[in-house]
This record gives sequence, structure tokens and C-alpha cells, in this order.
Amino acid sequence: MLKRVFLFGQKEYDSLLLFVGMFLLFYLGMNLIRSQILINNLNKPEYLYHKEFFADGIWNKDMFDETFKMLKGSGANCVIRGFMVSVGLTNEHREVRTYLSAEALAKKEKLDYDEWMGIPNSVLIAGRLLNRTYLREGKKWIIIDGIEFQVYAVIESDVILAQSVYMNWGNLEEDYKEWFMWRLADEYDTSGWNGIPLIFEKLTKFHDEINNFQDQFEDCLTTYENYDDYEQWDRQELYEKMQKIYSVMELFCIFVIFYLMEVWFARRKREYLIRRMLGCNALRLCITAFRDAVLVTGLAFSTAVIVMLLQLCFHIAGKLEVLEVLQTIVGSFIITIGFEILMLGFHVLRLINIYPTQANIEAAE
Amino acid sequence: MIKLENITKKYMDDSKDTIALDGLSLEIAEGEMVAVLGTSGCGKSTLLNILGGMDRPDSGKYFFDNEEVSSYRAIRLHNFRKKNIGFVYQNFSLLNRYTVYENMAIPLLARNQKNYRKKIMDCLEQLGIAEYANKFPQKLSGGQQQRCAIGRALMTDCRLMLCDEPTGALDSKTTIEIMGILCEENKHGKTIVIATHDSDVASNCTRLVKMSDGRILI
Repeated sequence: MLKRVFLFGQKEYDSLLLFVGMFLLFYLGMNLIRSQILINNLNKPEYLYHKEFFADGIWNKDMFDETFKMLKGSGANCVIRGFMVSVGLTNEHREVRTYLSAEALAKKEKLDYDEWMGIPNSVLIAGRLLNRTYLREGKKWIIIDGIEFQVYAVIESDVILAQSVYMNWGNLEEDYKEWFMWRLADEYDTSGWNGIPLIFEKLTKFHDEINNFQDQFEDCLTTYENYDDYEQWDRQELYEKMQKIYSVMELFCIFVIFYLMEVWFARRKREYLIRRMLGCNALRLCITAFRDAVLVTGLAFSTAVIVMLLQLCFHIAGKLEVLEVLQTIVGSFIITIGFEILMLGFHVLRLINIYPTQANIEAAE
Repeated sequence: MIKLENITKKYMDDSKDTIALDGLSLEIAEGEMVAVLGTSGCGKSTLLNILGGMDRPDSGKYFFDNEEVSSYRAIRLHNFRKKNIGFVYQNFSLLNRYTVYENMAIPLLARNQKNYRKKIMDCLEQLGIAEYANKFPQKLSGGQQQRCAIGRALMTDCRLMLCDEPTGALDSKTTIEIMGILCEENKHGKTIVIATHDSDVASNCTRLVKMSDGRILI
């Protein structure tokens, strides 16, 4: 069978080339999926959590504990915070990251900014407030829109010269809240403060969840204690580059295979015509063509799987994660087989309308 | 057995109509060996294509055993071809990636026949190429390849064998051998139609049909 399909010894290499093309298609496809899996692994919520707080060296466990302590002790329904930040930069700030990562941990997935905006559990006002605070009864206060707030805490931000403030909140009626927020926003805009007021609502008390977050935070700290973050980032960058290269090569492979399929079928057109002349019906002809092409594909896929397994063994020193391997192989199989069936179908269906006249047979030679 | 009535066939070439068959009428009785003689482009191959159900006439009627083949739809035409017609072409039309034996087996496989080894070997024996059964066609001479092609046509137990320039690619000695085989088959009752421009080949046949410009002269 192999001899027939590959035409060994007959100086016709189209099947061999198709095999190579298919092999590359599968192999690159597997690597493409593999690199995505690797990137996903790097971006596990636990790691992001860790990365957000510790990898840059600005934040340490004590600081984190202190923040938690402050938040737990606030007794507020929500937290109003002030930074010199804009909307777009908000998720770069560690307080927001606290929310993001905590939410990510709770949901076991990474949250982006829009998702964060959709979390109905927080209030954040951004802006530099410090110069407007005052002391009364030994506590720090601020009046915004005629309402007096207790400033709960001021912590230093990583933005140069900027400072952050936490304020108590809890004396607003529900229907007044939205109006107040927009009023607040207007005031900040016209007050010459840097930054745009940002408002996030938080319906449940943040401090109720703090203990849970803290436990998860401790777990992350233990897991990634000896982690080299810079290596991790380098790897992520590498995988992303690999993914781009694989994508381009995969695309190139698809074009090459399409062309090779053309050659493959053109080479076999004479045979199909002769078979038709000898009484093969169109269905049998399609099955023959499909069978030969599927044999080449199957061999290419098997070879790619073997090479991929060897590559995985080599890369991770035998510690194969079955789920990852299955994801890689099955994912590649489904995508490329789907593509292949489309391509084969396109070519094979053309066999239905071939007429085996001598002129056609000669033309196909 | 065969009756053609006023068959016309045109081809479009460069937006110009070329008349391949022009009101052609012909009758062929069972067991005849007919040579269709004419120059290149006179419509011989088109006639064979229509006789073999490869092509349909633009107008006119084609009867095979009193059944109008020209009205058949594609699948019925395919079945008619499969059941009744054997083809032999000038270029042999053998599949190079299969051995002689396997080439002979293709029509039998297409008819879902099994246990065909003896049938093929007997045929190869009769054609004098049994020793090449396991050889690939390109390793054989032109004559041997044409014998194989004839053998393959015989495998179908066809009633009508259509040969389009069967000796066109062969030397004179081999031509005689091939014609001998065809004559032998004709003696066994097979109806044979040979398209040729070689009058020597035509002289082996029991009947001669001369064609020119898509018409029959005699």
C-alpha cells in the first residue's frame, strides 16, 4: 500500500512532498498549541497574583499584610481611594491589582480591566487628595461635595510624588450614591487635581473577603517562593515569539499543501480517468483518492506525534504532563484534520465529473 | 447490435464550432470487426467516444441492442459502459504504479469480482505475457503493454471492444501480433470497432468504414 501511494522507485515525489508538508503542518500546529499552553501556564492566576505584588520588588509581604490589616479594620462598606492616575493606568496600581488578583484567584482565571469594571463590589475614587485633608478629633477627614469623609489611611503609591488615600464611606443613601459619584468626578476634574476620578461599586464588604484572600495569597507566596520571575518573563516573551513564527510557518504550510494537493491530484488524474474508463464509479474513485490522501495524512500525523513526544520528553526531561500532551495532540488533530478534510474534499469532489476519453487521458499525462 | 441514426456532435474551439460528427448513421452487427478509417480529425475518436458512452451526441439517436443509449442519464450510461464496453487506446492507458497483474485486476475490482487470479493468469497466458505478470508496465515493450491493455479490456467480458489507434505506437511486427490477438477475439464472438488511419490495420477487419469530415464515405 505504502509503495503504491508513495510511488517508491518511480521517481515521483509528490506523495513524499505532501507527506513532508503534512508532517510540518501537524508538527507546527502542535507546537503552536503547545506554545499557547505554555503561555497559559505562565499566566495562571496564582502566578499573576504573585507577579503583581512581588516580582517587581516594590511590594513585600509586610506591606501586603499591612494593607490587608488597614482594609479589614476600616469597617467601611467600601473603599474610596485616591491616586494620581488615569483610567487607563488604574490597573497598573497595586491596590487595584489586589482586587484584580483576588478576584482572579476566586474565579481561577485572569481578569482584564473590563472584567474588573464589571465586578459589582467596590468603590474607588482616584485622585490626589492629601492637600485637602484636615485633622479633627485626632482623625483625618476630607470634605467632598459637602460630605465629610474620614480618611482611613494614606499609603505611598509607586507613582512618583503621588500618594493614595483610603477613606471611610458609608453615610450615603443608595439613590444618592450615583449622583454623588458623578458630582465628585466633576469636582475632581475642575479642581486641578491630576487624574480622573474612577468609581467602582462594591456591594459586599471588602473586608469580609480579606481573610480568604490572605490565605490564597500565602499559598501563592509559598508556591512561587523560589521562582525566577525574570526567567519566567523571558520565557513568556520567547513563547510568544515562537507562537508568531509557528503561525507564519503554519500559514505557509497551508499554502504549500494546497499547491501540493493540486500536484498530487493532477498526477493522479490520469489514473482516475483510467479507473473510470474501466468501470469504477465516482464514489469508489473518491474513496480511493481519499484513502490514499488519508494514508499520507495519517502517516504524517503519526510521525508528527512521535517527534512531538520526543521533543516534549527532551524539553521537560521526561516529566510529561498527560493532560498537556493530550491537549497538544488532540487540539492539533482536530484543527488540522478539519482543515485537511476541507482541502481534500475540495479536490476529491472534482473527481465526480471526469470523463475518461482518450483525449482526456492523454491530456492528463 | 449497434445502430446510430443521424448522429451530430459539435465542439466549441476558440468560440468557433467544430463539427466532429455530421449526421452520421451506422449499423454494426454483433460479431463484426469494423475498421473506422480516416485521417486525423475526421471524427473517428468522437465516434468511438459516443459508441462507448463516454460522450453524448448533440443530436441523433444511438441504439445498443435496441435500447436508446443516447437518452441514458449519467449513472445508467456508466453502468452501460461498465457492462458492455472494453477500451483499448493507442497510449495503452496502463497504470504505471501497478503491476501488469494488478492492472488487469482493476476492472474486476470495479465490478466487485473476487477470486480472479485464475482468470487473469489464463488471459495473460493467452496473450503471451504471463511471465510479466509481476512487472510494472514501464518495464515492458510497447507490444507487451498493448497486450496487457487488451487483456484488461477482455477482463470485463465486454461485448463491444473499442480500439482507438491500438497499433499507433507500435512497429509493424508488433502491429501484426496485436491485430492477430484482436482477430482471434473477434473469432470468439467479440464485436470490435477499431479507429485507425492505417489501411494495413483496416485490412484485417471484416468491414471497413471510411470517414471524412464527420461523415461516412463508404
